[in-house]
Amino acid sequence: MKGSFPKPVYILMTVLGIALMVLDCARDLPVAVCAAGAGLFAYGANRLLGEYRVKKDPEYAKKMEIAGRDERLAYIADKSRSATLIITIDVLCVLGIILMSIGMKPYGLVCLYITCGIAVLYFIVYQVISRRY
Amino acid sequence: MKNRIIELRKERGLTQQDLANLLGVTRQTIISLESGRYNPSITLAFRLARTFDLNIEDIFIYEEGDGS
Repeated sequence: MKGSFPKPVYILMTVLGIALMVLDCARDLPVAVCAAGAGLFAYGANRLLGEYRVKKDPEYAKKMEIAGRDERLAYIADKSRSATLIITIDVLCVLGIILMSIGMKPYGLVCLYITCGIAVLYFIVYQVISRRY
Repeated sequence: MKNRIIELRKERGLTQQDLANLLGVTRQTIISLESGRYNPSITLAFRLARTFDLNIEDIFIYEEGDGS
């Protein structure tokens, strides 16, 4: 699959995900640990199952290969990524202002700093890519 | 941008899936191309032209204001 990591990475993610969830049940850890574990497990297991299906089902493998090369799907993915970035910036900006105005200044500042960080990163990435094309 | 893909495909007795297989794209891409919702890259436009044995201008009809 395009943009894939080697299989051991997904095995490691799945195992780490399960370990984090078990650890969270065994000890009273913050909920974020369980959430991170669930996320890792879901992503890793999904990729492993996908790879297994590609190996076992040639029809599905062919379908996936075509989907991986399809330019319209790549275009949609690019569009979705750029829309997600714009929505993230807008939401963080509004959230930052709301948090600042209700007296949660540190959290508001974090949101606004992240917004600035994303904007700076966008500028850098734009400059790098514009030199390539 | 308008195009003649449906007409050319039907003339050759191809289904959307046949054309998709020839071009190495999904059937959904052919549907989007035919309805004019998606404009192909220059590479795909050339592949389409070669599949139909025509020039790109014979398939795609460019009008002022397209793409603006």
